[in-house]
Amino acid sequence: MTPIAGDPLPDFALPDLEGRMWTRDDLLGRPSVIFCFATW
Amino acid sequence: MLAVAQDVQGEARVRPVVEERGTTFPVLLDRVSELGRRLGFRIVPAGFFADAEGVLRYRHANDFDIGDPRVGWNLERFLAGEETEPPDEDEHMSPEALDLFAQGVGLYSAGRVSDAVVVWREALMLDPDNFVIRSQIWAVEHPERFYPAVDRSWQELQLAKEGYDKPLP
Repeated sequence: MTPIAGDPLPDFALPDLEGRMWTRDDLLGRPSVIFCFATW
Repeated sequence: MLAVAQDVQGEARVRPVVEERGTTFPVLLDRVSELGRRLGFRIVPAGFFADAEGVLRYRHANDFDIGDPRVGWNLERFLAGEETEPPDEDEHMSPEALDLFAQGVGLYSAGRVSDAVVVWREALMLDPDNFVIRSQIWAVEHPERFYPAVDRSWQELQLAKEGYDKPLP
Protein backbone atom coordinates (compact mmCIF):
# COMPACT_ATOMS: atom_id res chain seq x y z
CA MET A 1 0.00 0.00 0.00
CA THR A 2 1.27 3.43 -0.88
CA PRO A 3 1.49 5.51 2.30
CA ILE A 4 -0.64 8.62 2.61
CA ALA A 5 -0.52 11.58 4.97
CA GLY A 6 -0.86 10.27 8.53
CA ASP A 7 1.00 7.02 7.83
CA PRO A 8 4.48 6.35 9.20
CA LEU A 9 7.29 7.27 6.86
CA PRO A 10 8.50 3.91 5.48
CA ASP A 11 11.93 2.78 6.56
CA PHE A 12 14.77 2.91 4.08
CA ALA A 13 18.54 2.48 3.99
CA LEU A 14 20.37 4.63 1.47
CA PRO A 15 23.92 6.02 1.27
CA ASP A 16 24.75 9.69 0.89
CA LEU A 17 27.47 10.97 -1.42
CA GLU A 18 30.07 10.38 1.26
CA GLY A 19 29.00 6.77 1.78
CA ARG A 20 27.20 7.25 5.09
CA MET A 21 24.03 5.15 5.37
CA TRP A 22 20.80 6.96 6.23
CA THR A 23 17.63 5.40 7.57
CA ARG A 24 14.24 6.68 8.68
CA ASP A 25 15.61 7.02 12.20
CA ASP A 26 18.01 9.73 11.06
CA LEU A 27 15.02 11.92 10.25
CA LEU A 28 13.37 11.66 13.64
CA GLY A 29 13.43 14.61 16.02
CA ARG A 30 12.86 17.35 13.46
CA PRO A 31 10.55 17.99 10.51
CA SER A 32 11.92 16.78 7.18
CA VAL A 33 11.34 17.65 3.56
CA ILE A 34 12.31 14.77 1.29
CA PHE A 35 12.96 15.85 -2.27
CA CYS A 36 13.31 13.02 -4.79
CA PHE A 37 14.93 14.00 -8.07
CA ALA A 38 17.14 12.79 -10.89
CA THR A 39 19.73 14.44 -13.06
CA TRP A 40 17.97 13.21 -16.20
CA MET B 1 15.83 18.98 3.81
CA LEU B 2 17.02 15.76 2.32
CA ALA B 3 17.43 15.14 -1.40
CA VAL B 4 17.31 11.64 -2.86
CA ALA B 5 18.72 11.08 -6.35
CA GLN B 6 17.12 8.36 -8.45
CA ASP B 7 19.98 8.01 -10.91
CA VAL B 8 21.18 4.50 -11.70
CA GLN B 9 24.61 5.94 -12.53
CA GLY B 10 24.85 7.11 -8.93
CA GLU B 11 27.55 9.41 -7.67
CA ALA B 12 29.20 9.89 -11.08
CA ARG B 13 26.12 11.71 -12.36
CA VAL B 14 24.85 13.22 -9.13
CA ARG B 15 27.94 14.74 -7.53
CA PRO B 16 28.71 17.20 -10.36
CA VAL B 17 25.13 18.54 -10.23
CA VAL B 18 25.20 18.82 -6.45
CA GLU B 19 28.54 20.65 -6.52
CA GLU B 20 27.48 22.94 -9.35
CA ARG B 21 24.37 23.98 -7.44
CA GLY B 22 26.18 24.38 -4.15
CA THR B 23 23.72 22.09 -2.39
CA THR B 24 24.14 22.28 1.38
CA PHE B 25 21.73 19.55 2.48
CA PRO B 26 22.43 15.80 2.43
CA VAL B 27 21.96 14.05 -0.91
CA LEU B 28 21.25 10.32 -0.86
CA LEU B 29 21.68 7.88 -3.74
CA ASP B 30 18.72 5.65 -4.56
CA ARG B 31 19.85 3.71 -7.61
CA VAL B 32 17.05 1.11 -7.55
CA SER B 33 14.29 3.59 -6.66
CA GLU B 34 13.77 2.08 -3.21
CA LEU B 35 11.94 5.21 -2.12
CA GLY B 36 9.89 5.18 -5.30
CA ARG B 37 8.67 1.74 -4.29
CA ARG B 38 8.09 2.62 -0.63
CA LEU B 39 6.60 6.07 -1.10
CA GLY B 40 4.83 5.34 -4.36
CA PHE B 41 6.15 7.64 -7.03
CA ARG B 42 6.96 7.00 -10.68
CA ILE B 43 7.86 10.52 -11.74
CA VAL B 44 10.44 12.92 -10.37
CA PRO B 45 10.61 15.42 -8.83
CA ALA B 46 8.46 14.10 -5.99
CA GLY B 47 8.25 15.62 -2.53
CA PHE B 48 7.27 14.41 0.94
CA PHE B 49 7.09 16.07 4.34
CA ALA B 50 7.55 14.02 7.52
CA ASP B 51 7.17 15.36 11.04
CA ALA B 52 9.60 14.93 13.94
CA GLU B 53 7.87 11.69 14.92
CA GLY B 54 8.42 10.19 11.48
CA VAL B 55 4.82 10.55 10.33
CA LEU B 56 4.20 11.43 6.71
CA ARG B 57 2.30 14.74 6.59
CA TYR B 58 2.38 15.58 2.91
CA ARG B 59 2.77 13.48 -0.20
CA HIS B 60 3.21 14.94 -3.67
CA ALA B 61 4.24 12.31 -6.20
CA ASN B 62 3.47 14.17 -9.43
CA ASP B 63 4.90 17.48 -10.61
CA PHE B 64 6.30 18.47 -7.23
CA ASP B 65 7.78 21.96 -7.51
CA ILE B 66 9.04 23.72 -4.42
CA GLY B 67 8.41 27.03 -6.22
CA ASP B 68 4.72 26.21 -6.69
CA PRO B 69 2.68 28.51 -4.41
CA ARG B 70 0.46 25.60 -3.44
CA VAL B 71 3.49 23.60 -2.29
CA GLY B 72 4.80 26.65 -0.44
CA TRP B 73 1.46 27.09 1.30
CA ASN B 74 1.52 23.44 2.39
CA LEU B 75 5.13 23.72 3.52
CA GLU B 76 4.28 26.68 5.73
CA ARG B 77 1.37 24.77 7.23
CA PHE B 78 3.52 21.69 7.76
CA LEU B 79 6.25 23.66 9.53
CA ALA B 80 3.58 25.33 11.70
CA GLY B 81 2.31 21.88 12.68
CA GLU B 82 -0.98 22.35 10.83
CA GLU B 83 -2.79 19.97 8.51
CA THR B 84 -1.65 20.01 4.89
CA GLU B 85 -3.77 19.54 1.80
CA PRO B 86 -1.86 17.09 -0.41
CA PRO B 87 -2.89 16.71 -4.05
CA ASP B 88 -5.31 13.91 -4.78
CA GLU B 89 -3.08 11.27 -6.32
CA ASP B 90 -3.68 7.64 -7.04
CA GLU B 91 -0.49 5.82 -7.94
CA HIS B 92 -0.69 2.20 -9.00
CA MET B 93 2.80 0.93 -8.41
CA SER B 94 3.97 -2.30 -10.01
CA PRO B 95 6.27 -4.19 -7.61
CA GLU B 96 7.10 -6.61 -10.43
CA ALA B 97 8.31 -3.75 -12.61
CA LEU B 98 10.45 -2.40 -9.76
CA ASP B 99 11.90 -5.86 -9.13
CA LEU B 100 12.93 -6.06 -12.77
CA PHE B 101 14.29 -2.53 -12.60
CA ALA B 102 16.46 -3.51 -9.63
CA GLN B 103 17.66 -6.60 -11.52
CA GLY B 104 18.63 -4.33 -14.38
CA VAL B 105 20.56 -2.06 -12.02
CA GLY B 106 22.54 -5.11 -10.91
CA LEU B 107 23.37 -5.92 -14.54
CA TYR B 108 24.27 -2.30 -15.22
CA SER B 109 26.58 -2.26 -12.20
CA ALA B 110 28.29 -5.40 -13.54
CA GLY B 111 28.99 -3.60 -16.80
CA ARG B 112 26.28 -5.45 -18.73
CA VAL B 113 24.63 -2.29 -19.99
CA SER B 114 22.74 -3.70 -22.98
CA ASP B 115 21.42 -6.60 -20.87
CA ALA B 116 20.30 -4.06 -18.27
CA VAL B 117 18.39 -2.07 -20.88
CA VAL B 118 16.62 -5.23 -22.08
CA VAL B 119 15.45 -5.96 -18.52
CA TRP B 120 14.45 -2.32 -17.94
CA ARG B 121 12.38 -2.44 -21.15
CA GLU B 122 10.60 -5.51 -19.77
CA ALA B 123 9.95 -3.55 -16.56
CA LEU B 124 8.57 -0.67 -18.57
CA MET B 125 6.16 -2.97 -20.39
CA LEU B 126 4.73 -3.88 -16.98
CA ASP B 127 4.48 -0.24 -15.92
CA PRO B 128 4.54 2.15 -18.89
CA ASP B 129 3.71 5.13 -16.65
CA ASN B 130 6.89 4.71 -14.63
CA PHE B 131 9.09 7.58 -15.77
CA VAL B 132 11.82 6.74 -13.28
CA ILE B 133 12.35 3.60 -15.36
CA ARG B 134 11.63 5.15 -18.77
CA SER B 135 13.83 8.21 -18.26
CA GLN B 136 16.64 6.08 -16.88
CA ILE B 137 16.63 3.94 -20.02
CA TRP B 138 16.74 7.07 -22.13
CA ALA B 139 19.56 8.60 -20.10
CA VAL B 140 21.67 5.46 -20.51
CA GLU B 141 20.91 4.98 -24.21
CA HIS B 142 21.01 8.65 -25.20
CA PRO B 143 23.16 10.52 -22.66
CA GLU B 144 23.64 13.36 -25.15
CA ARG B 145 19.92 14.19 -24.73
CA PHE B 146 20.33 14.63 -20.97
CA TYR B 147 23.84 15.89 -20.28
CA PRO B 148 24.68 18.69 -19.96
CA ALA B 149 21.04 19.73 -20.61
CA VAL B 150 17.76 17.82 -20.78
CA ASP B 151 16.15 17.92 -24.22
CA ARG B 152 12.40 17.75 -23.61
CA SER B 153 11.53 18.08 -27.30
CA TRP B 154 13.50 14.91 -27.97
CA GLN B 155 11.69 13.18 -25.09
CA GLU B 156 8.31 14.10 -26.56
CA LEU B 157 9.30 12.64 -29.94
CA GLN B 158 10.75 9.56 -28.25
CA LEU B 159 7.54 9.02 -26.30
CA ALA B 160 5.54 9.06 -29.53
CA LYS B 161 8.03 6.62 -31.11
CA GLU B 162 7.56 4.29 -28.16
CA GLY B 163 3.79 4.38 -28.64
CA TYR B 164 3.04 6.16 -25.38
CA ASP B 165 -0.08 8.23 -25.92
CA LYS B 166 -0.07 10.46 -22.82
CA PRO B 167 1.79 13.76 -22.49
CA LEU B 168 5.32 13.90 -21.18
CA PRO B 169 5.06 14.56 -17.43
